[in-house]
Amino acid sequence: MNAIECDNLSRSFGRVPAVRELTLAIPEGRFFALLGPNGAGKTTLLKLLLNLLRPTGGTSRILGHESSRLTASEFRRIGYVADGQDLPEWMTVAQLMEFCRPLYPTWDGALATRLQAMFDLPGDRPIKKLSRGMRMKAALLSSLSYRPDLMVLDEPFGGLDPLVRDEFIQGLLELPGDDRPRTFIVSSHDIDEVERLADDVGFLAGGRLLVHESADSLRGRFRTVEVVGSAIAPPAGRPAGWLEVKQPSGNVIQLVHGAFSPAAQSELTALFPGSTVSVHAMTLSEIFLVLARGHRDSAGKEAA
Amino acid sequence: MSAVLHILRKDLRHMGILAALSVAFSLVATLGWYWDIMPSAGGFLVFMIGQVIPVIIQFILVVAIMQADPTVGDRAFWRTRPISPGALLSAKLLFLLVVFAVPSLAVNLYIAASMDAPIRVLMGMVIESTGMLLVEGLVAALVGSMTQSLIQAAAALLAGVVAATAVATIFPDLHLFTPWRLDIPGHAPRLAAVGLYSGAAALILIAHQFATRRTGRTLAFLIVLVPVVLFAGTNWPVTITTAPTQLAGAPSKPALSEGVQIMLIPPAQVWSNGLERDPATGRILKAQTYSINAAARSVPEGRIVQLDSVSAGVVFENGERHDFSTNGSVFWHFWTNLEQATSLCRALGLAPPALENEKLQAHGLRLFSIANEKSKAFLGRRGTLSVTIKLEELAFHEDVSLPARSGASSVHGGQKWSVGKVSIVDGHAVADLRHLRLSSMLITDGAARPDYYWSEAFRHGFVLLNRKRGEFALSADRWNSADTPIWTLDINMKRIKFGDRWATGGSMVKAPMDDAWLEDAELVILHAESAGTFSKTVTLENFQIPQAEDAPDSTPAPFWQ
Repeated sequence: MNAIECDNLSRSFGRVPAVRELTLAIPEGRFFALLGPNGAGKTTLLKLLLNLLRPTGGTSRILGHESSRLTASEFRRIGYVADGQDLPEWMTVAQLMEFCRPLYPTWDGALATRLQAMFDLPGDRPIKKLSRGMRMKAALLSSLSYRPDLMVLDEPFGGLDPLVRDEFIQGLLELPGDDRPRTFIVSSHDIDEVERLADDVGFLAGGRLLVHESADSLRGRFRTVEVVGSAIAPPAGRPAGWLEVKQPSGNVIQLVHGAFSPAAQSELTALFPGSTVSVHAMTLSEIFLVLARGHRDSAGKEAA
Repeated sequence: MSAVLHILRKDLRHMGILAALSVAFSLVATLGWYWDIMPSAGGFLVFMIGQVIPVIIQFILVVAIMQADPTVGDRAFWRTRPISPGALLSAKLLFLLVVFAVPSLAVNLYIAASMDAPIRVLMGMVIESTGMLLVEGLVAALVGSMTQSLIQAAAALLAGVVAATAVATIFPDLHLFTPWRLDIPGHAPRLAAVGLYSGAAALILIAHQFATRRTGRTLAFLIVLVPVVLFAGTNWPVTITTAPTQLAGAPSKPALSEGVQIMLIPPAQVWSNGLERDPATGRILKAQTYSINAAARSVPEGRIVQLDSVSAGVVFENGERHDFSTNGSVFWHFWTNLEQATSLCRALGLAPPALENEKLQAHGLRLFSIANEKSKAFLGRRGTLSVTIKLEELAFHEDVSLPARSGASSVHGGQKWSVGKVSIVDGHAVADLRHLRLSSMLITDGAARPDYYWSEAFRHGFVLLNRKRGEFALSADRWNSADTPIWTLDINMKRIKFGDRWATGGSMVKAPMDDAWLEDAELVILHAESAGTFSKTVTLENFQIPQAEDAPDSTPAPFWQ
């Protein structure tokens, strides 16, 4: 069963489209990283899923329910933590837990206590006096403690210093299987933050979903390639999968291969006989940058 | 329901101190005045504590509580929690009910019961004050922040007032009540009018919400607001007119008598040092005021006539006509003390005293004023002056009787009369009175009408009656303090000076009044009931506007014999 389904989902603000005819399905039990540059439409998409915004076209479903008809009972199964989300500032962390507890039949007091200790959150301090990282942790604590089936995190690492960010991610990673929500959706513009966590990756740019596949698949098909030889030149017609082809000197060609496979390896060897072909695996971060640059260039051409 | 109570508990915990302060100030502002522990002339501090601070605290609290869980924007904590909009709205309304409406209801119930107020007056007061809360709450819920609330509340108020002014101008027959009208001084009806206009503006805001496709929120607010608006709408347009009132429980309305004559007593006089506002430019100009003494003749026994307005116009010999501005009713309230005295005595079954013939000392009647600049155009021209005098005929009836002793009080249909200090000054009694009155915009008749004070306060007559000695004394002079309205409770202070002692048979008792006389006396308060209005037109032939005198001389000059 899919935790999330979108069908031609669109949302515009005035004449500016933020999400364009997006179709997506995220199966349950996956950790989905929604990536994209600033302004790509990630936050808008998540708010559409949670009925915080109304779509201007298409539909979406979350845990089998139409987003536009989500009721209180559905929100008992969904956790949502977002950068910039309002929290009851006057409450202490303990009061926040006390307020949230009766709202959720599945609230696990022991888990809440464990998480609070793990996040090192002072229970008696008002939220307004907490640092940004602590506030995010408090929000996460108030959402994980009822064991939601789906956890939606929107830019949860934005503005956090590296140490706090690492603690935050470590906290998610260290959650025992029973304590972890089954499905995670995390949006970020920085892939490093979710590299260790993501099962699947979606790349959003200009409101369009450009890529949606598993992280392993992405890592498997993207390679940096360096060809070193004598007086070599790229072929006239660009072969399939070749991206960002550069030639820093007459003896060197560098490229990113976006459809690498044993056949592609053979093709490279055949194209540059006598040359040395070095192939290197890429991190998701590097892949993300390639995709982002590619979108920017194509968007620039469209605009021109 | 549990979610509603859960949110309510959270809000009470959050705003507990402010809520307690609000309740405390509201109690002070109402009970303090009712129990007379607030000095009625306490100056700025009392004004702030009694009137300004409760309103400010209420506004801040209503806005804060509505915006603690905002309905505007997409960042609110509650939006992604298992809290339904209905539960949230119910919790917020419940908060307003618990913190504002319930204490107000309790206090009003106590005061209303103490003042023998009819249940409909009580209900009117509760609905009126709750409606005000609802308007504040709605505005706060429809906008995103306190600053926005203030700006939008001011804008909504302005929009409501402008709209009402436009309606009042286009449809003058509606006699719509505008907050700045100088001839309606009571603060309570003004506040209520402001509430009415704010309500209309809130409807405009809701329409805007609907137009911007916030359908769910619009419907939620309409469900709450529409019944209130429908109910208020059927009552307020009637209540906010200045039509004559009929006191509930008063004797049946007396019939208007015929044959009252108006006697103009020459010479007419012109006062050259008056001022006149030019209706076209608003400038204050030096003006001449034309007046003449007048008396009413053939007024039936027990009746008095009261001036309502005077309209004058002149037709010159060449047929040209000029109409002067109409004078309102802010001049003499009674024609003569004699006629009032006669009417008071008749109502109490006493023989009217043989007062001096005051008919020849009739009050001056201001016929018209004209700016000096304008009068130059009329100098030396003869014509016929036509003056139409609109009058109201009144009949007194006994309303309240209570011992003429300090501390005595009487409650009657939502009104309370209390006697303060009663003393003897130069052989005459002087009594301080305190008049409390409950009012509601939803009540269209009787003493609970918000504009009762203005139209009725001068229609009270006061008699000291000593049945044991068979004597009485009539009010000879009076002073009214400023009206001090606290929400629905109006407070009016009066000081009444009584005249000579008279035997009930009509002869004067030539002895000063003393404390022993007061011991046995009762204070009878009478109320003048309107029998209706009528107009009389008198004509001054061979009328000529005299030369204006620029000298600051207050001596009037005769201009018509």
